[in-house]
Amino acid sequence: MIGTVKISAQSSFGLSGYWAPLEENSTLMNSYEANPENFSSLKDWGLSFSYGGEFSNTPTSSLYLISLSKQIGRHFVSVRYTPGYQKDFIFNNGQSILIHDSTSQALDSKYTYKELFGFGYSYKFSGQFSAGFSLRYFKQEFDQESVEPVFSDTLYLNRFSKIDNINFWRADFGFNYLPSKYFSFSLSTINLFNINESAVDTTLIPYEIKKYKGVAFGLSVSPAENFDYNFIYETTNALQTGFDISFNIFNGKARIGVTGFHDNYQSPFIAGIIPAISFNTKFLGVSLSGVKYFSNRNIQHTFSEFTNEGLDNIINNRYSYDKAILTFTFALNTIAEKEVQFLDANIVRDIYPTMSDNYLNRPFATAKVINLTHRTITIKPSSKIEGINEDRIVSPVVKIGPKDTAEVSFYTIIPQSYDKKKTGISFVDFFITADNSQPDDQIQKPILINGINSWDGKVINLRYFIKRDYQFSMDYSKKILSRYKSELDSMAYSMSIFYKAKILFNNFVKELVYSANPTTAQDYVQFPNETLKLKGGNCDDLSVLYSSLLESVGIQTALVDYKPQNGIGHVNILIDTQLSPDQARLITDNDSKYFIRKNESGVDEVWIPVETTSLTNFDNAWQLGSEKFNRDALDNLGLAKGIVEIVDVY
Amino acid sequence: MKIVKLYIVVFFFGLLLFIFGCDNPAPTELVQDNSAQESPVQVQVLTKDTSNEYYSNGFDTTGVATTYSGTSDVVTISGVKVTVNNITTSSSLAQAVFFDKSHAVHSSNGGVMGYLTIAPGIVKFNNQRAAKILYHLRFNDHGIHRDTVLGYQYILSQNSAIPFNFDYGSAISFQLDQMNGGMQYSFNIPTPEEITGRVNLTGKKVNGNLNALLEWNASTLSNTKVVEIILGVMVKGTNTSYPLYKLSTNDNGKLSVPPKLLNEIPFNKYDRFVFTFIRQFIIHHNEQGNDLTVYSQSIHSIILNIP
Repeated sequence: MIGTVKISAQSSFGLSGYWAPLEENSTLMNSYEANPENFSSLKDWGLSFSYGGEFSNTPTSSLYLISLSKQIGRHFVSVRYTPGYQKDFIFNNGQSILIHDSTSQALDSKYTYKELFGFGYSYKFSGQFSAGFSLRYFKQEFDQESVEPVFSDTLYLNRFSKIDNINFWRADFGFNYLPSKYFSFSLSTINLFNINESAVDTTLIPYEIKKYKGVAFGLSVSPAENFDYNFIYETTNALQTGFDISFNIFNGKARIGVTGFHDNYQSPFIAGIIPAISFNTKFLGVSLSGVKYFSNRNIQHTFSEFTNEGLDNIINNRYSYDKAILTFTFALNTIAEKEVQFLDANIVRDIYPTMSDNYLNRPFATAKVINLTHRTITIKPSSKIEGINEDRIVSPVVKIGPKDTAEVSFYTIIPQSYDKKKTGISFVDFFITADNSQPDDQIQKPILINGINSWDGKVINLRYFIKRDYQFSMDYSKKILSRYKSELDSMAYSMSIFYKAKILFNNFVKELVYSANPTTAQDYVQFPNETLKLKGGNCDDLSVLYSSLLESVGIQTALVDYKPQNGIGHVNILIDTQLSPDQARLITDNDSKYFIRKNESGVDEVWIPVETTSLTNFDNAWQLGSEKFNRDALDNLGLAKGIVEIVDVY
Repeated sequence: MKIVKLYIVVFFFGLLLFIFGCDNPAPTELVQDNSAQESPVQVQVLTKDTSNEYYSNGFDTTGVATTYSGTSDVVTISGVKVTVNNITTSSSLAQAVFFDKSHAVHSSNGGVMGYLTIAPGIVKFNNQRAAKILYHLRFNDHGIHRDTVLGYQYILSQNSAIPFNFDYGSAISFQLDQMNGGMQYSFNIPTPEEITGRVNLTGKKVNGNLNALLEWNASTLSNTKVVEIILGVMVKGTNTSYPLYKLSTNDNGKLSVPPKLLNEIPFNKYDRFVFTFIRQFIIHHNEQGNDLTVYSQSIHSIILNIP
């Protein structure tokens, strides 16, 4: 007679207990029981096997499971083989053969329940949320001995085994939510789908594994850094609860935990506990767990009890024995683990391609990064600006303490060949690399790349315009000076610089028919060839042109930066005549028309100011330049006040 | 890379160790308490040689045992019903056989086949005198069919002239008056409740899926706990029957015959099943130093065509 079935063992019962499904914990990797949603914090390959002993009257040992897992991007797949997930029942099935009126042979039956293998899949929608499913295959073998007559010369009875297999698949779905590293929540189904083979022998139906449908809610919280409290409730009135504490030791993490479990039909209320200890390093995990039932398990059970109660869990039921399980977990990471991570990145300076040297010693961007490891690491920042860099440009390395944050500076190199005149928005990829060959993290930001004529308004940076197209200036200067070769050769060398400057000015001025600025934008500077081609320019353009022509023939120049007063700034140049103060009279008797500066050797030399916008002749430009310099720089104490600044081109 | 190689070596070493060092998990042995079992059944082969009509199996078509071990004198009273084509006929039968233990009958190889019988006097059942008739023993002795008269037996069968009736759930008196001043003794033999069987035969022999669910009126008394069911076959076109198996089970009214017992029968020779339900008392008496075994039985035989 079949009684009302009322059992409801934990669907979530696992041989290693219930652990927090938090990061850095691979214990749940092979547990489709408590983790049907197949959550995992593995980074790449995972390999696990559990071996253990069962303490029945005759202790046995079994290989409980082998599992293989792989993280592929956001996908996580796993497969599990569970040879030790098996429960056998043996009993006399009531049939017997009587031989010779006295000898009786009893016939037995053996019911075997196995979970053979399973598959799991999950998808990580974000760092906090993942969802997945598991698919498990169960085998039920009902081996019943019966009598079989053999009609030959004599009739006799044989015993034979009648084997019925009623196998089935179980599919469950669930999700896992980890809003922080201190809290996780999971929701999963119990027996969502069961695909059954139907029983040919209907008398076996009561002995099939019960498949109650329900939902399991899991919750783990970490109120303290190294303490997790774990709880899982099944709507079939079963629960597991426990805690674990962890501490760092031997470059790994050790955990000690205990899980108590309750279900509807085992007694006492807490039917047993699963104490466990584990040790995990980056590559290896070892855990030792035990299942201790509080009721005596080595007692006799009757067949009618089995018939009435049935079975719904292979590894945890009223017939289960105490166990001890050793689990090894290998994390075979072929993918480098992220050791450092960007928090944010900021562009601190737009890119002015002509001012390339500026980015070699001053960062164009900074980023905040965090060391994810428990050790001090050295990180190598690098960047690649789309449209400028062919390869990543490496910036100086930075050391960061364990779990610390640091600001990292990014420098870049702008190739001389860059010649885009248009300003546009591009983007820059920032990379940070720790010990690995591949970057640990990457972030992308938009960046403004100005055209090559763009200028940031700082006079000091005009020298980059002076130096560019140097070859043009040289050719142009030499061409002009060659026409005055005989004159220059006949004069004293000490005077040749002054005269070269004078010749060059008087010649290029002839080509500039316009005195007005061809371009009005303040942040736009023409290169020397452009100024000559356009036949004009503003003070920046003309100073750049004249300085470039002089520098190209070895005449040292400096830019005089008359800083904006009332919104109007100005620039002209100083020319190093290389004359000593005593020789100044060779070029002028007016000592207000020159300015004494020390050269690199500390020797005084005569410098003359020239107003490049005076497109008349050299003498006039010199006169205007001197007047402005004397007035603004000297008389009004511009140099002392910093209102006027002399910027050496080299 | 070294670490990966090390792990692979360790893993496979461990795997081999575990695979070859593992048992299956310990099974749980359940105690058979029968309360949940449909019907426990004990099966015994009765006819070992179904090709030989001279093979003595000890039962006739009605299921009445006719061969006795000879170790004790035997008294048998039977209430017999035979159902053929849904028509049931009833009869009552009483037998008594007294053996001469000093005269064994041997086969050619020296085995004891039985004992000679004696007729010690007058036998009465319910004060009806039993007839004294010859008692034959038929057997196959190394290929030779032998039909031997061992002596006499006493038989009282119900007919129109003799009002002997097997009263179920009651008692029948037995009385022996020995000749030549021998001792007399008598006693009452209790009778069991009447048994009425029913056979639900499904499936077809050609498909090999014959099933027989046997039902009978379960005993309301506690004095019979076991019912014996003789499963036999009848030779095509004849009334020769061969009881094949004896199934012993609880007297709880229901038994599913192990299907193989039916489907393995060579049906080319047989066309009918005979299911004989027997509820019986077996009583041992010792009268003046003689062992006397008394069988009091209700028998219902049902003959069915094999579908």
